[in-house]
Amino acid sequence: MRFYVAVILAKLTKRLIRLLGGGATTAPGRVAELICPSIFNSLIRKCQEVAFVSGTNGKTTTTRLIAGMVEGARGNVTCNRAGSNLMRGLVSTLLEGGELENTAAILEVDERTLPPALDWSKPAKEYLLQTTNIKAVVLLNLFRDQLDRYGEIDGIAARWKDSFIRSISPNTVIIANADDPLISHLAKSLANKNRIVFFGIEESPVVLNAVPISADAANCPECGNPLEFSQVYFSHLGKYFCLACKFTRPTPSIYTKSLDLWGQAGLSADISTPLGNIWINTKLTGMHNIYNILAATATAQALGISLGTIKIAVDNVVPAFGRSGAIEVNGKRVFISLVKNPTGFDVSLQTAFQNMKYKVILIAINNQVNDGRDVSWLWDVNLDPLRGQADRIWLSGSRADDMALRLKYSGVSGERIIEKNLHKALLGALRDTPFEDRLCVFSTYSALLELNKSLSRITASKRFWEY
Amino acid sequence: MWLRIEWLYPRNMGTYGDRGNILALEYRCRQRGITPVIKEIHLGDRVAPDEIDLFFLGGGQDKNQTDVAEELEKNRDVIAWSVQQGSFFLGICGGYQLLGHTYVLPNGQRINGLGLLDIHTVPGKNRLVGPISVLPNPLLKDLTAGIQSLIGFENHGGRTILGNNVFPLGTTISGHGNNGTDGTEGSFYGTVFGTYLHGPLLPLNPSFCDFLIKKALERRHGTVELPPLDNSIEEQARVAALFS
Repeated sequence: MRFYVAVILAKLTKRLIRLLGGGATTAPGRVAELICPSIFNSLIRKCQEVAFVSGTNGKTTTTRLIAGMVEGARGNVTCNRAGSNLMRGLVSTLLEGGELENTAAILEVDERTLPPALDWSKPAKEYLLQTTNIKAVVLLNLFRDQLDRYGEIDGIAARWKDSFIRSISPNTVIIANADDPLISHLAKSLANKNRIVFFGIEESPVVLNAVPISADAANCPECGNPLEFSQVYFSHLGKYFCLACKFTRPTPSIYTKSLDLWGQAGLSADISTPLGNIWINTKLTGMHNIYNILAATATAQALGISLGTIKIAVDNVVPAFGRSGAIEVNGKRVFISLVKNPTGFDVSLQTAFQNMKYKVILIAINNQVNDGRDVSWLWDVNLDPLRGQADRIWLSGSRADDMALRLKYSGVSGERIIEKNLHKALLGALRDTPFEDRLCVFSTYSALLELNKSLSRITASKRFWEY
Repeated sequence: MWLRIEWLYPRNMGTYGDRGNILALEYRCRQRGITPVIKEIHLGDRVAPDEIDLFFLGGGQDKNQTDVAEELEKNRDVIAWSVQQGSFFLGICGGYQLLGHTYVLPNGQRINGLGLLDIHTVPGKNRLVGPISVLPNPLLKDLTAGIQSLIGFENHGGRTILGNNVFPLGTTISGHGNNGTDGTEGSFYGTVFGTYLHGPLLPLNPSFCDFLIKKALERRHGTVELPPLDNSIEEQARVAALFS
C-alpha cells in the first residue's frame, strides 16, 4: 500500500517540478523514500536485469555506453542519464522506468552509495540470492575525489568489500579495472565467490615516465610498499607489481591491442575479448574514456550482448551532457570538460592541448557540495600542458580567485580575466573566440550545470538535462 | 642566497594539495632572487645531516601516515639534531600530528611521532571539516612585522591536545581547530610549526610564507629583509575562502 502511495506522490512531484521548469531528477525519489523507505528494494527486484556502475571517474559515460548496447540488443533500458547517482536519484530513475519487468536498469552509483545500494538490493530470503537479477557490478577506479565528502579511498574500498561479502549473489559478475591496484586487489579477494572479469590497457601510445604527483594509490594494497610500474597511463593506473609481496596486475580478458588518440577528435582502438575482436572509432576523447569503453564492453558481454551490437553502440555514442564533446554556438565550437579531481583535470588538459593552441579558454571553479568544498585539490593538477597554449584565460565560478592564485604560482602565461558570474564569463569568452575557432571550457560540476543552462539559452535548445 | 628545503615523503604525505606550499615557497623565494633548493625524501631514503633550512611534511591517509611514521623513526635523531641547530619544520595535518609524541588511529593503534612538539592526537567521533580562520598567536607578531589572520580549510578526524611546552599557533575565529573544544589551532615551539590548515596554507597566507622564509634564512645569514610582493591575487582568494 505504502509503495503505491509513494509512487503516485513521486509522479505528482515530478509533474510539478517539470511545470516549474526544473529537471526533477532527484526530488521525486526523495519524496518516495520518505513515504516508503524500502522502495528501492521493491523497485530493483522488479527489473528484468540490473547492472550497477561505480568508481570515481567515468560512471556516467560508462553507464550511457552500456545502456546504448543493451538498447541495441534488447530494447527497454532505463538509466540515470543526468548522472544523479545517490539513492534518491536511483529511486527517481526507477520510478520513471515504466514497466520495470521488461526493463534493464543500468545505474551509475556514487562510490559512497554503492554499499547501501547493494545492501538494499538483497532479497529478504537468502536463497533468492541464487537467482539474482543483479547481473553485474562495474568497478571503474578509485581516485581521490572531493575529500571533504568522502574521506579516504582505502576506506571506500573496505566498505565496498564488506557490502559485497554481505549482499552480493554468487551469480553476479564483477567487472573490474585490472590497471587500478586498489580495484584489482579488491576484486581478487572476491574471486573465490564471484566471477571476475578484468579489463585493462595492454598497448598504449601515451605512457607517462612516472606516477604523477596527483596520483593516489601508488602503494601496494597488500603490503603497503611502493609499487613498481612498468607502464603508467595516468594517475596510478598502469602495469604494476610489488617487489616485496609479489602482488601483480592481473591479466585482463578485455583489453586494447592497439590504441590511437586523436586529441579532441576522438579515439580508435582494437579491442580484444574472449569472444573476438572489434575495431572501434568514437568521438569520445582521452585515455580515461578508453577505460569506460573497455568496462562497457566487458559488461555488455557478461550480459550476453554480441560484439556487433557493442561496436555500433561505441561508434555512435554521444558524450553525456556537457561532459565532453563539442557544442556549436554561433559558428564557434565549444568543448566542455567536467573536472572533478586532479586526475580528471590532468587528463582533460592533456587531451585539449595535445598539439593545439587556443586564443581563449574558460576555467570555472565552484565549491558547492557537489564540487567538493575544499579547493586545495587544484594544486595537485599538472598545469604544464597549459603553458604557452592559451592567449587569454577567463576564470569564473565562486572560487575563480583560487584558480587565479594557482595559475600565478604555476608559470602559466596568458592574460587572465576574472568574472565570477558564469553567464557573463561564458558570453565574454565566446565573444573573444574568433569565428570558426574553438573555445575550451574546464568546469566543476555545479558550474557545468549553470554553463549548460546558459548555452541552451544561447542556442535555444530545450531539454538541457538530457543533452 | 639559497633556501634549502627538505620535502619529506611527498608521495605518501601529499594528499590535500599540500605541494602548493612548496610552490609558494619556491615562487616567493625566486621573486626576491633567493634560490630554492628542494630535496625530496622518499621511503627508504636517509635524511642527511646537511644544513637544512626548512623541513616540510604534508598530510596523508591513515595508512600512509603509519608507513611514514616508521621511516621517521629511523631518521628521528638526525631531524632532532638538525632542528636543534636551528632548522625550521612545517607540518600540515597528518604531518602536524607526526610532529607530536603520539597519534592514536581510529582502530586504536598507536603511532609514535617525532616528539618535536609537546602535543598528542587522539581519534574523534567525526571529521572536523570546513573553512577556518585563525587569529595568530601574539607571540608571532613580535617576531616579525605582523602576520595577518590565517585562512584555510580543515579536514581531520584527529583531535590534537596541547601540552605545557608548546604554544598554540593561534585561536580559531571560525572553524574547529585542534580539537573543536579549546579554541586553539595548530601549535609551535622554537622553529617547529604545525597546523591543520589546508588551502593550501602558504599560498593563501603569504605573510606567513614570507615569515617562514625570512626566519629560516636568518639563521645562517643574519638579518634578512624580504622586499614586499604584490599580494592582490592572494587577498582576493582569501576573501573568497572566508566567504565561500
